[in-house]
Amino acid sequence: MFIGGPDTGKTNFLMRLWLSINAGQCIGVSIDGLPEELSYIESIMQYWLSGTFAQRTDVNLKMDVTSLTIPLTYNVSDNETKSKLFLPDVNGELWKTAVETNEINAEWMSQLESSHGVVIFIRPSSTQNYAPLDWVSSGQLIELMEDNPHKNQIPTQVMLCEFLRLLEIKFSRNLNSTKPRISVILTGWDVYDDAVRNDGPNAYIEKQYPLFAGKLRHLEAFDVEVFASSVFGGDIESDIALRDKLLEMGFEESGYIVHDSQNGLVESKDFFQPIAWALGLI
Amino acid sequence: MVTRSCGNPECTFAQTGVCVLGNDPSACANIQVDEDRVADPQVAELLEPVLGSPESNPTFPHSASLGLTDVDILMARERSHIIGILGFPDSGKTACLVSLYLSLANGKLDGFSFADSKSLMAFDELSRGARDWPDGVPDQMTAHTEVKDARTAGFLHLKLFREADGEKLNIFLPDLPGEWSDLLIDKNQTERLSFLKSAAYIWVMVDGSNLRELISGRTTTHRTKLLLARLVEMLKPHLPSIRLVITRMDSGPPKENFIAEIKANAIKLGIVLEIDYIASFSNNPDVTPSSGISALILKTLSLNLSERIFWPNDPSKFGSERQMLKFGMKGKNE
Repeated sequence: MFIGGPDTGKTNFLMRLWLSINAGQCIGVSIDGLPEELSYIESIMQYWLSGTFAQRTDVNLKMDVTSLTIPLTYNVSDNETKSKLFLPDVNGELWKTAVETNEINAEWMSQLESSHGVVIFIRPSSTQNYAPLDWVSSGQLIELMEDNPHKNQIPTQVMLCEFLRLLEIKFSRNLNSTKPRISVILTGWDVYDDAVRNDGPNAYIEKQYPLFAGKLRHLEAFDVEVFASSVFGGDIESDIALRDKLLEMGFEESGYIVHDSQNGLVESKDFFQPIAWALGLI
Repeated sequence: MVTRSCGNPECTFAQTGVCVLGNDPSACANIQVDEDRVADPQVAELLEPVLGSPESNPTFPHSASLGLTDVDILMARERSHIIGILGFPDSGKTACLVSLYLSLANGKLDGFSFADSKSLMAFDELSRGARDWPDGVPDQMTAHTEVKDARTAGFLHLKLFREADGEKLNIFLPDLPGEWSDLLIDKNQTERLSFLKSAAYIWVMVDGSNLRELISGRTTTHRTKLLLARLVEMLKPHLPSIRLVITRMDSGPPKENFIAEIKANAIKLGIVLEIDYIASFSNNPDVTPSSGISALILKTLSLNLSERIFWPNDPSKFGSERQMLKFGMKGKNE
């Protein structure tokens, strides 16, 4: 299950994940024939082929339309298992509304409860992000006690903590029946300079989202791993040279994913890693 | 469907199913049999609901402020501490809570980091000034606090990780209306403050800017001494540690004679009063916002706190430790 607010990169990641699996770049898993339904994925590809990121998922589309079901063969511990990987692409507004209202569409709630793995998406450079008020503006608001334009805006890190709280209530299993797992992916990682990227996504979360970092560190119900990703390795909407290069060579080798592991930062093209880990396959 | 009733006005058959004359209901002459009107198809059509029930989405528990029953349940699950926060209106109670939250949200609470909160949205709403009092002061704390526009008192929860020893501390902080402190003094209204008997610490917040002037300083000193006296009456013989928290230090230093007087009076009451100075926010460039907040938390949640015996052998102490649960049960039975 992909969880993340609006504009956190879920849809573009799904596209890049599909290409990665289809190209055989993923350790421990191989595709077992094409999915029956490719229209949603192809609609995303249309954006890429015109040199843009995919736009926001339509909130009115049903789950079976905005999803991808991939027949796979898993190779785990020398055992081969055939299965289907169901990846629903949920509109970020739904998760945002769930935090604001403590309500969630019944179909998505049911899907969450039956999920085997969860991936939380954060796009630090998104304009939708919101930081907590500082002492100056907060103090003025309390003294004035007037209606303020920020009254209903929930800071990004508070929303992320609330996602974890929702998962503590509703998410409870993975394929191996071990402790449930959550992968956290910081998308759009190419935006940052070398210094930030060399410190890794864990350090970024600690610095920018102390509440979320604290809750992650002390979570008892789940195991968590942190990743960072870039689907193109840059911004194809402003970097024309990059765009042209990818259109010429294809998108199968574009971008990268970084695993902030105990052995340090490990970069690869295997976009299935966060899902494989969340499912308990690795 | 058929309904039976009795024509005898003295009979309670309709309510009890028993004939007061001792007759078999099927044979009693007073029994009246009415066919259910719904059996009439024409009527049945008219009684069909015009609108279907609205579909409701599944919900999950909120993270607004917690009611007493919620706190009761959470305290029973995990070792926890209540920090009671009292103070007159505008003494800076809410500002202190907001400053504490912002310190954690920015990773700036020295010695501690955030581990969890069951009332994170409540903290965030406080920081956005989203809570107000459209209907005036509420009469009592509700057992289950709903997320509403009206401000209702409730508890805020934090789980803090103490870096010195790696201990995780659950704390509950009530967000009480200042008027309750006034009512404690003026009317000895203690009922809704009974949870203080389970508090490990109490912070008595005093507006430091009031202590800079003679009239406001004398008034505040006078009322604070009375507040402490009421607290002692309510909580003796088992007094928790009480701290006097002087707020709004960004407005300048308070007159220390007032503070010394309060402290001396506290000693007579049997309280060893610790004093803290904070500036939750700051209009003074020489004073950093949240000054003193870290020190207040560090001293309150000192290492000695974790060494306190949770279930002491002294039965009288045991009674006061379990007061929270008694209060919660009493609230349910009223």
